[in-house]
Amino acid sequence: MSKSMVLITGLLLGLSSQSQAETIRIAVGHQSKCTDTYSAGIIIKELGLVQKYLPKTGKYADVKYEFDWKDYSSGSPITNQMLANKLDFGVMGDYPLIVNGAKFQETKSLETLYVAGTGYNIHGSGNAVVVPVKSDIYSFKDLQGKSISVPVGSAAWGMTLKALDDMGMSGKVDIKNQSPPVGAANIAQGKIDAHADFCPWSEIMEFRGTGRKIYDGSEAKVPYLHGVVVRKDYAEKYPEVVVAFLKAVIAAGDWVRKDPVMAATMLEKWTGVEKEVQYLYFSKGGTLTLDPTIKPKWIEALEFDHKVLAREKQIPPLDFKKWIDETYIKQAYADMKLDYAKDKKVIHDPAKEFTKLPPAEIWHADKGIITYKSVKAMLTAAKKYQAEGKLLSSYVYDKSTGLKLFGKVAFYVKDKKGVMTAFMRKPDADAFAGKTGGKVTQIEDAMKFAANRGRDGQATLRLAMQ
Amino acid sequence: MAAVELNVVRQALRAKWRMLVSISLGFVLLYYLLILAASMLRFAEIPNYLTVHDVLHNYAQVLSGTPSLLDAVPIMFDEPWLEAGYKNPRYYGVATWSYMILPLKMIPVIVIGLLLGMFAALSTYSKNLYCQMPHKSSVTLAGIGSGLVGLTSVTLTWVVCCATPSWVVALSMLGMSASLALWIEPIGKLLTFSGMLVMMWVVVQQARRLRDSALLIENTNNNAYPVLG
Repeated sequence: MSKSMVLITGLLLGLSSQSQAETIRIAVGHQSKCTDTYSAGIIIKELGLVQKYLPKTGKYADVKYEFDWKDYSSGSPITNQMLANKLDFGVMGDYPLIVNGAKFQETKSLETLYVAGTGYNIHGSGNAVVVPVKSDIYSFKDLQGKSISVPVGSAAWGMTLKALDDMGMSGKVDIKNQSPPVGAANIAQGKIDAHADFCPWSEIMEFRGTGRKIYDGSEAKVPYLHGVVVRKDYAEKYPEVVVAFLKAVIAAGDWVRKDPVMAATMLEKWTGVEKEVQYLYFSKGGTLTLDPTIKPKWIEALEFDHKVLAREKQIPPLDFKKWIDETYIKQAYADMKLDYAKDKKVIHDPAKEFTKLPPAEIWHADKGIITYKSVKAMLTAAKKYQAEGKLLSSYVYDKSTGLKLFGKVAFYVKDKKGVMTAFMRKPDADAFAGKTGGKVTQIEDAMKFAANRGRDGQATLRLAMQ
Repeated sequence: MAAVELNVVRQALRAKWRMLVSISLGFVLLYYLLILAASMLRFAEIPNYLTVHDVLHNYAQVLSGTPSLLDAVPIMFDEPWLEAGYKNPRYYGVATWSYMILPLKMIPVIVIGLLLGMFAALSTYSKNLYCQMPHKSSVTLAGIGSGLVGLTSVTLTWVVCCATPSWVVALSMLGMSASLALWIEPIGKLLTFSGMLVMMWVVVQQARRLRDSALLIENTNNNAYPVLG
């Protein structure tokens, strides 16, 4: 091709691109296997919520929006893809968020902004340590001299390090780096003493009957949270698009709260993660609270996480003031006529909330969710539904932490009056039984007991009426 | 002296170019095949997916979105060209492990392959011409140098939330405890650099030995008694 031809072609290309409408890319890195990210990922993708709020006037009058949703199983590759200019938004957990901010600030010309939260648990539930279901390990302290696998760099890793520190066990447990699916497979095959992971992996192991929790993140007492980051150059160029994205995040939270059963069912369809597991997070009294506000407590938690990462992994410093930007989420709240300051102050504490809720639930194959006034009543019904093949799952609350549990993995204490109380960990159940003179059982025995006591109770009632 | 050295090296490489090319390319090929085989053995899984990335388009995207070239280059280093691994169907198709070929991260491996090829070519030329075997120490050092670069150039990734470079992830995957792997992490670049230096030193030493032998023969020939008659 001659030089003049090249020039003409270039000019033509330039002219044609000028006459075309601008295309704005909205490339989002999300995690369909991480429940805490759903309100800024899979939900807004599948419901098309961002499209609903995108600006269509002024400088956006003639633009075309082009979506690119990329699904990842962890936060780290999202950061790499954001650095490589392939993603504009990223949704991830606290530790990967820190790495994201620090890695970008380490460069000379790039930055990200932490613009909103997605979900949290104030005490740190969501991360947990799981042992093979048949293991004779019942408490974290039993892990001394043993091996624990964990995805290094994740929030679960931070929780593990803190738990080891808190219990004076640092250096006394062999930590191995392991991805969630490999860790879950190893637990199923009993190849590792314990595996620490983030949500929903621990619950998946419990639901599938392969693993049992011995330590919940709430014991570490550091909030567990997820959030949204966006490239700063993108946010400066298209601030209205960022606000639209965050409006969709707010709407996604409302959609879940409106009907958690339907949300759990849809989420199973979209992500493959079982609806019974999803319900554990998104139902009333569930582990997770969807909330896009950025609370002072989150910043404290993130600063703590950064210190852990800096100590263990020598990650670069992070200027939190430069990184955290509430402008966009505040604007989204204002546009939707919502009170940001009010929501920012609210901190949902499952340990307190569960006392206001029915103590047990069953997910019946035909009837959906059934609530019960007592654990014993639920266990009686569970036995019947199990025999009929209609029991999808049962739920109770851990007496010690208020954490919502699968009924089948809980330890039950039946006291002298026949009252059943549920616990996540055996040592807690043992202690309670010691105090109340009760007996510790697991689901099968508890169901038998409840069913018998149920009949006794009815007989006693009939006699009294006569 | 240096001219003599270069001349001898040139002659040796010209004479043994087939060996040079086959060892250089063979090393690179073997290296990546070995990593793949080690991963397959470690996890007892055969890769069930393969992705070929448009690496040139990705480089262009990095350059267009990164104002500073100093930032863009290290980001480009992490761009893969080829990716293969195992997606676990029992756990929602999440990739358990991935084996990657990153063109820019191949550079140290190619350089080491080339240096190994040069060492082999020079040694063979020296042996054929002057019956001179390479020192055992040189062979050991060549092994150490290539081993160090090989170790720190492993491009395996793992679906974990960490920011550790791939070579440390590889160590963890192969059974090293996370704490030890993280302790080693900061010295990765130093190890690569040391490995390169060792390998270069070995090649230079071999070239010097070859030059000395060549000079010795030349001097012997020059000082020989003229044939009378």
